[in-house]
Formats: sequence, C-alpha cells, structure tokens
Amino acid sequence: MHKGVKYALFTAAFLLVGYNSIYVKKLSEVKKATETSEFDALAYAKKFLNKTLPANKEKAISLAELTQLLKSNPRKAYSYSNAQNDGNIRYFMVKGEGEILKLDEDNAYLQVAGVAPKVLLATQYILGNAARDGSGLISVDEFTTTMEMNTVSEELNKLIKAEVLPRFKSDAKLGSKVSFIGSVQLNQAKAVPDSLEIIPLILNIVNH
Amino acid sequence: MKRLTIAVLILAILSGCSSSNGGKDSKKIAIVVSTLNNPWFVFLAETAAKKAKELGYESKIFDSQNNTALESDHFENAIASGYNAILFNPTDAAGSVSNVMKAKEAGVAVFCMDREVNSKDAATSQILSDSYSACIELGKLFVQSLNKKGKYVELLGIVSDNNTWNRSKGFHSVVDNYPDLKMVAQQSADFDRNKAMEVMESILQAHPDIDGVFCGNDAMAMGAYQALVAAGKAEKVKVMGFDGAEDAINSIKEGKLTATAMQFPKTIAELAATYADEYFKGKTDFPKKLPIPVEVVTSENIDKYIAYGKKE
Repeated sequence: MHKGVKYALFTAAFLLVGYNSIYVKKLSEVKKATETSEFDALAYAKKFLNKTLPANKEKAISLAELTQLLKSNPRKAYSYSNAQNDGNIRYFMVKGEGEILKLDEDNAYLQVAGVAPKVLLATQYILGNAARDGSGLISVDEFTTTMEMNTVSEELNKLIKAEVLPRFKSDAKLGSKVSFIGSVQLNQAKAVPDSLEIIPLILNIVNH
Repeated sequence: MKRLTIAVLILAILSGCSSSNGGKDSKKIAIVVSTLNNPWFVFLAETAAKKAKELGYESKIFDSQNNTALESDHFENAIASGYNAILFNPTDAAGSVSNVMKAKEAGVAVFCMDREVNSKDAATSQILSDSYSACIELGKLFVQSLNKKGKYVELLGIVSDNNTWNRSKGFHSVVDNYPDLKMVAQQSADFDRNKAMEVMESILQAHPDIDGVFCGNDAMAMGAYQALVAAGKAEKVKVMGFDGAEDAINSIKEGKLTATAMQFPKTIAELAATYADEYFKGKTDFPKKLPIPVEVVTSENIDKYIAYGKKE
C-alpha cells in the first residue's frame, strides 16, 4: 500500500477514535444533570414554610425556657434539638416575643424577657441549615439524594428573604414588639455564646 | 478403593455445602472503592477490611480507579465469586446505580460508604459524610478569613459525584451572599493532587492576584498549595480543603493550609462492616441514608485532631 494512503488511513482512524473518546461539556450543564429534575425544591420549601411549619408551631420551645435549661440542664436542653446527623452542631425551633432595641442592616436586636444572652434576629444573612433542620420535621430519608435535601435548605433561606423579611423590615421600628418563631444553631461542644442568632421562620409585629 | 474415593468425595462436597450455608466465617465481603490513588480512600478501604476481619469475615478490596466500567466488572466478579455483601464507595452517583441494582437482584447487600448513589432503594444503606453542612461552616470561615472581600478560585472534584456538588453548594450557599467576594475561576481537578497543581498553575497565569482557594478535597488543596508556593504566593493566599488527610493536617499545623473539614472514614468504614454483619444475622431495618458529621479543623483546634479523625 502506498505510504501516503497508509498515513491518511492512520490519521483518519486516530481522529475518529479521538473524536469519540473526548467529550467537552460545560460545568454548569454537568451540575444541572446531577440535580434530579423531577424534584421541585422550591415547591417543597413553600409548602414547608407556609403549611407544615405553621401547623407544627407548638413544637417550638420558648427561648426563655431553652436558655434557662442550657444553664441548668444542658442535656435536657439539647433533647429539644434536631439535626440531620449526630454531630455537635444542633438546631432548635424557638418561639418568643421581644422588643426591638436596635436595627441595623444585618439584624434586629431584641430584648426578650427571661433571656440573658443578646438576641439577634437575622434580617440580612439567612444562611445554613437552621431553617430546614430546627423543627426536626424534615428527614433525609424523604429524598432520593442528599443534593435534593440540601437544595431545600437553599430554597427555604431564599423564601425567608423574599417572603418573611420584607414585610417585617417595612413594619419594624425601635420599640416594636415582635412575636417570632425561628431557628437557632448551637454547638454543643462549646459554651453558650453571648449572643444568639435566630433565623426567622414566622414573624409578627404585635403592637403595630 | 473406587467406592471409598467416591464416598470421600461426596463427604467433602457435603461438608463444603454445609460450610457455605452455615457459620459467619463462610460469608465474604467485597470492598469496592472508587480509587486507591488517594490515601483517604486507602484508609477507608483498609479500615473496612480490618473491621470485616475482626467480625470474622473474609474480605477483598477492589480498586475501581475512578472508572465506572471497571467498577461494573468488579461488581460482576464479586457477584460471580459468591461475595455476600459489598461495602461500596461509588465512582459515579448516577452511573453506579445499575451496579448496585445488579447486586441487589443477585441477593447481595450493598452498603455505600462516604459517597452516595442516586437512589433511595438500591443500596441496603448509605453511610455518607454530611459534606454540605461542613461546607457551610467552611464557607463562613472563608468569608471571615478573607474579610468579606477578594478574588478566589474553586477547585471541584469529580463532577459526576454528588459530594463534589454538595461541597460546592454548601460553600456557595454562604459565600455567594457577599458580593465583594468574586470567584474568578471554577474548575474540576478530579480530586487529584497533580491535576490540581496543573490547573492552579494555569489559573494563576490568568489571575495572579487571588486571595483564596476553596478545594473539594485535601489532595487538591495540597496540589493548589504547591502551585502557589512555586508562584511565590503561598503566604498571601488562604487555601481550604476537605477530608482531614494526613498531609493536610500536618500542613495546618505548619500554618500552610487555612482549614480542612474532618470526615471520619473510620466511623464510616466500621459502621458499614458492622451493618453487613447485622444484615447477615437477619437485620433488615437500616437507615436508608445516614449522614455522618464532619468537623472544621483550623490552627485553633488542630490539637484535637489526627489524620482521618480525632485524638482518642
């Protein structure tokens, strides 16, 4: 066989094998493909925030009772906590009523009767799994993948920013009384911090 | 003599049958791991094998070399060779489901370790590091370390693995709330140290002024750090990894890496082997998915940790 034809055949074979061996995809496409398309995390989060939580709000522990228990009987206090794993980071669904002492762009600072640590109601950074896990109503076994469950966390945090906080921010003033149901993250390996950050779930200005 | 030989043979066969149906030492456990080219997975596999041995079972480790086709071969071999359970660290959350289903159909229980498969029912149980929650905490630390502003790079692991995205999403669920933190590059380095070094070298050509690097595992963090050292930027750039591997722990002690997230491969591997033992003894009720906590390790709490776990 002519040398030129041989080289041409080899090159064609090489290109054919090469073309079928290498795939170039955008990272964003791969990421999207890993998220199961049937699961609607936003719908799940909406139902949770607007129906499941209000129907189970009596499960929240009073913030005053919790802070007192953390001092007197930490083991009992942590029996009210929830998390998806059995690590040191735990979440509590808490309720209470407080007076707004200060407002800044990140928080509303509340005075809550019977609560020694400062109470910060988060109004800017709604982060982490507190909103999802505080109530203990969401279980990993409900989901096909942990990614689905984690997306619920993200959607819940976005919903709180979009639906719970704007109304509160427009109505809240210094001296206003706020009734709240929210979620608090604590690390049981560490001492109770000087200030407790509450991720709001349900907020009402009671003397507006 | 011929009759005697036949009788002996029949006896031998019968005794063989009774042994394969009876005591626990007749059960075999296959340990199929995504790669043995990463010390973390070597530790996971060896710990599982050690625990299986302690529980009285024969076991064998299979290395999938991050290749789903090879993983499929391992499953077929394990099923054909009569293994009764598979302790499994998948290569691909979606692609590995069919392997687990194959084992299930053959009556072989599969217990996933660290990485999950995209199915609620295929595996008997999935014991998984809670990567997302840990990366929320790493994200908070990253924001604090960079004082809420700066340019950063993210190195992702294998893009078909759920851990890659759980880590990335956990991190971004925090960091993306700070508009002055700008991600200038996001690339996969397949959880591989050498690839991470090459990728980082090339990113540094285009973005020499970065302030932080977030990596989906410690091997990539070490590779990125090496590239930063070579570029004379290691002092300035904060590098974070994930795993709690030996070199990362030493590196945090020496003030090189800023942080990692300690997974507990010993807990995961031992629990998987224990579940297999319980399964052989008749237990059927296992948690479908069991998230294992992961802890953030920095120079402040490094004294509490050793490679792959906490000090006893």
